[in-house]
Amino acid sequence: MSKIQVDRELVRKVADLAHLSLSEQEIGLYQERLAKVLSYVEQLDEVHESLDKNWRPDTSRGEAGVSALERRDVVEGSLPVEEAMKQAPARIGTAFQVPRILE
Amino acid sequence: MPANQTVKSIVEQVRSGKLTAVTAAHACLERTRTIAQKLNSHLHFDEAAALAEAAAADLRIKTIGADKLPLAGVPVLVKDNICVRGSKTTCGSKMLENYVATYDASVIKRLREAGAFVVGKMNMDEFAMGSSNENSAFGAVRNPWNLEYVPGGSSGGSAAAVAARLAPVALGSDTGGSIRQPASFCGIVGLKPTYGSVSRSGLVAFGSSLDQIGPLTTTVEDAAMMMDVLAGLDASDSTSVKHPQSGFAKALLENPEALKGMTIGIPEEFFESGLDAEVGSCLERAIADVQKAGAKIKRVRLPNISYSVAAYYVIATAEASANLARFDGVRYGHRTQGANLNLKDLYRKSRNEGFGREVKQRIMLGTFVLSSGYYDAFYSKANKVRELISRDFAAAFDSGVDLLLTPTSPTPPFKLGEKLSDPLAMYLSDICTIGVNLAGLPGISVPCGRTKAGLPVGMQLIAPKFNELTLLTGAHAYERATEWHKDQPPL
Repeated sequence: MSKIQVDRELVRKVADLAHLSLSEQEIGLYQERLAKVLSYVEQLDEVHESLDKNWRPDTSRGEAGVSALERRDVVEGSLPVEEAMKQAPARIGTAFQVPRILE
Repeated sequence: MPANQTVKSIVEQVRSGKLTAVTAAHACLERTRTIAQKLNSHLHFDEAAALAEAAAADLRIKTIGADKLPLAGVPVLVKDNICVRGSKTTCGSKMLENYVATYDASVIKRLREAGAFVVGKMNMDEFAMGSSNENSAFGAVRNPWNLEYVPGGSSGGSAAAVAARLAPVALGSDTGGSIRQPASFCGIVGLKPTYGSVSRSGLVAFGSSLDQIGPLTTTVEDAAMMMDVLAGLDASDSTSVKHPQSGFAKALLENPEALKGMTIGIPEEFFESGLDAEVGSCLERAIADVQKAGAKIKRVRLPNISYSVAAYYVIATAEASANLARFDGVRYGHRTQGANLNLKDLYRKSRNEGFGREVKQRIMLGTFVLSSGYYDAFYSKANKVRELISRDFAAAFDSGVDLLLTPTSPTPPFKLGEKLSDPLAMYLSDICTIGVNLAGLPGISVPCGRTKAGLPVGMQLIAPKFNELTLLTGAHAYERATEWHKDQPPL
């Protein structure tokens, strides 16, 4: 793992991926904080793991005693539409209102 | 709440007809009225709703019979990331400041069925991200032992209130130590059950492969009574399983000296550098007490445990960045008032306004470690290290160890503001608890001493997966042999 250079551009890119609109001041703050945490996290690179080639993280938890529980595919009651809509910040009828996407 | 009431004593009094849920609620509310403000422990304290819940519990007790209800008349405080229908569930965040839960979490249903009722929703670090409860959008919680100090986090409101005896029990959630570390800082008992043993349905998700709900109580016996009700299979949580054990409270009564003949492993890594001297001496005395109670001590090693904080801050933040993507200002939660925005800017501005500093930091960290070009180096590697840490624990238990004993936190409670500017210092305060979450094990913090300044110190016991019986009976035997759990903060 190479040392990551956390510059303002990287913070902007990550904030964009994370759907956050940071102020210039916040970009500076997170540049400093993320650099500090990432340089600590980079110590993972020191670990020499000798796990079996077939080992996969997404299946390993199952063998450890927790397996995915499946439900029967039957129709059950659910939250009434009116109740689900009640906390929408903006709505039109039974639709959540968002800014126009298509011009 | 009379300052000496426990879950057990309330159930006994309700069963003998000396107490009703409504009377217990009144006592609880009266004490809360005078003390909660000092601690800032409560986010929602609705007396009328609490009394209505208590009246419903009394009706249930009358109809079904207190003897059939394992938690008859017990008032419970609930961390504000667990849904209680009709009540605000803010997660300590401006994002959910006005969000009212539309359903009950599975644990709430279980508690009500058992005769218990909810009396308050508790302050917490925003979205359970923090170790001091200073990250709440609604103000920091204070430690009841000294109001200038933090109560720990993220279940800080739950821990502070139980320590102050505002109720005998609170629910918390633990992703990297968020039940055990505040329990330790506040001088009470905090249990993080095995991953999968308590349903997460209705718990607002942070790190889904790590999150687990558990109780904060003043005695181990009360934790066992809670575990009897909380543990169990739930179809609403696909990671929940039927616990192979049951009858935790009964086991404590039958085997009060469980430490006799047990082998307790001491992982040397936790006692090397970085351990506060006063915490170290409390732990040395605790190890001697465990020995006096009849246990053998065996030094063990967990070779990869020093990497647990690094692995955790990759895995937990990756999961958080995905889980918190749902907050977009469209269906519920905070929405920016900005005008003439396109959809993407609506998301970005709503999220930037709704989330606090630490939450944004972790979302970005998680987004980064999952991003193209960095996924293998960070996320895949962290998962492999997680596996190695799990294997280290398994090897320690396979070497003939029944329980592991460690400090819960490497330091005593610290002052408000002391670690806020340094994210790493704050993250490292969870170094003793994080490995337990990565490995999915059960862990408990019990009080084991106090510093010269009078602040509580906790000891953590860790058991193999789904072996809460050994964990609770061992912790109970230690508690019986010591007096620390009887101390109460000078409020």
